[in-house]
Amino acid sequence: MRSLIWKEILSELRTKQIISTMVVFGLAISLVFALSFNLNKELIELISPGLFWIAILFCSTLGINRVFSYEIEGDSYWTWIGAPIDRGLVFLSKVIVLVIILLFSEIFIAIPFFIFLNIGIVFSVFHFIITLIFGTCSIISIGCLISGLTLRSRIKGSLISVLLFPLSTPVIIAATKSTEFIFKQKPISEWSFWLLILITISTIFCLTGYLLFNYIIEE
Amino acid sequence: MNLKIIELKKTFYKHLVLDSINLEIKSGKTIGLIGPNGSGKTTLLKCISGISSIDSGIIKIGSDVVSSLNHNLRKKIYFIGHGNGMYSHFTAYENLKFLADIYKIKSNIDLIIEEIGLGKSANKMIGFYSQGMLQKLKLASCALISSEIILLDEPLTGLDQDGKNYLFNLLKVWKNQKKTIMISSHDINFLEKHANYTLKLDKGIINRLD
Repeated sequence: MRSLIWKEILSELRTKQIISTMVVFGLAISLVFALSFNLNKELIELISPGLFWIAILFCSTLGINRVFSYEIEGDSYWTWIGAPIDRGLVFLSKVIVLVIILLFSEIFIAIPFFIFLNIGIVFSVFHFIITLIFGTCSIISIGCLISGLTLRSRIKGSLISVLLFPLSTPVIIAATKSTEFIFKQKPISEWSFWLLILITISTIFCLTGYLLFNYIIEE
Repeated sequence: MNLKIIELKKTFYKHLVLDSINLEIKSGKTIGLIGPNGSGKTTLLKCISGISSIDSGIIKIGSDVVSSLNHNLRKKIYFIGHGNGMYSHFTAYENLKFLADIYKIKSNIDLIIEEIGLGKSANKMIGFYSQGMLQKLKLASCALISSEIILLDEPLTGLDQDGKNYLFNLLKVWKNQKKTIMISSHDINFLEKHANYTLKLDKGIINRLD
């Protein structure tokens, strides 16, 4: 598992394809939102949780598109597909590294998002980070499973978006609701239900991907 | 280690590529595989190595059946094919190190790279390698893993004389170590020289070449 994670991290450090595109795209979306919505402060603060998670979902598609496609170039996946390892661990290593990359990108997306949209809410950063972690983990686990399933499809790019957005709808609803409660500074007992949904979704899709990956990756 | 294939069938998009292949290769034998382009040579090797799934039939390594779940069995088979099978943004050393880690092998990677003649390019990303250098690196990976069943798909492609000599030496060493080797090639002279016998695969059907 350590070698697989090392391989994913080294790949990204060398190419910087995922993180750079995610950050630039995230900044662009924040800017577009700021320029498009000419609303008063109260209304912006009301819709900001939803806008934020839409921005995260859009950014994640870039990483999800790339996470398996580089394995196909030059048949690089032959290194591990024929190796004496549990192939499900390859799926988990990709989820772990992509979650780390997206969380890192979210720092560079969230700060400009709040500045550009002029959102001056005081909220619990700790609770917001917890929601970010499980929301990101849910989106990425669903995305990696779709990316693996569509690996050899010629319309992979469009298929990922077509499948990811509807499947991620419960995640976006739960993450938006959690964020909304956090922004309103409500106690965790009032919104823990939404957080539990995020934890459940990420667990289910991580396990499903781990168990199915053995079969979906073979030619 | 014996390799046995029973009634193997494989289709790609309703096109039958391998049609009821039956084959038994005794331990320590080197088998050549020839056939026209698209005859299913690479597919057969990929099915044996577990890279490709099969529609029906059984592939046995010794007494164990090759399956998606039997990942420990994959340590006994190593396949090198047309594609790089390596990461282009990694160096030769990093690629071999990754392989050694996932195969849980402790070996002197520097020495293997030096022997194949890639010592000076060991820390260069393999995306900048020529076809011949990549082929040498693939052979180096084969030498590193040193599994009991070795599947080589067109191993001569792009190799210079030094590379060919390295391959011939490897084949000699592997034969002495009683490894089972299957080589797909269009070079009949090469196969006649190095294989115990040659099989011809055409339209998904396999026959022994006399």
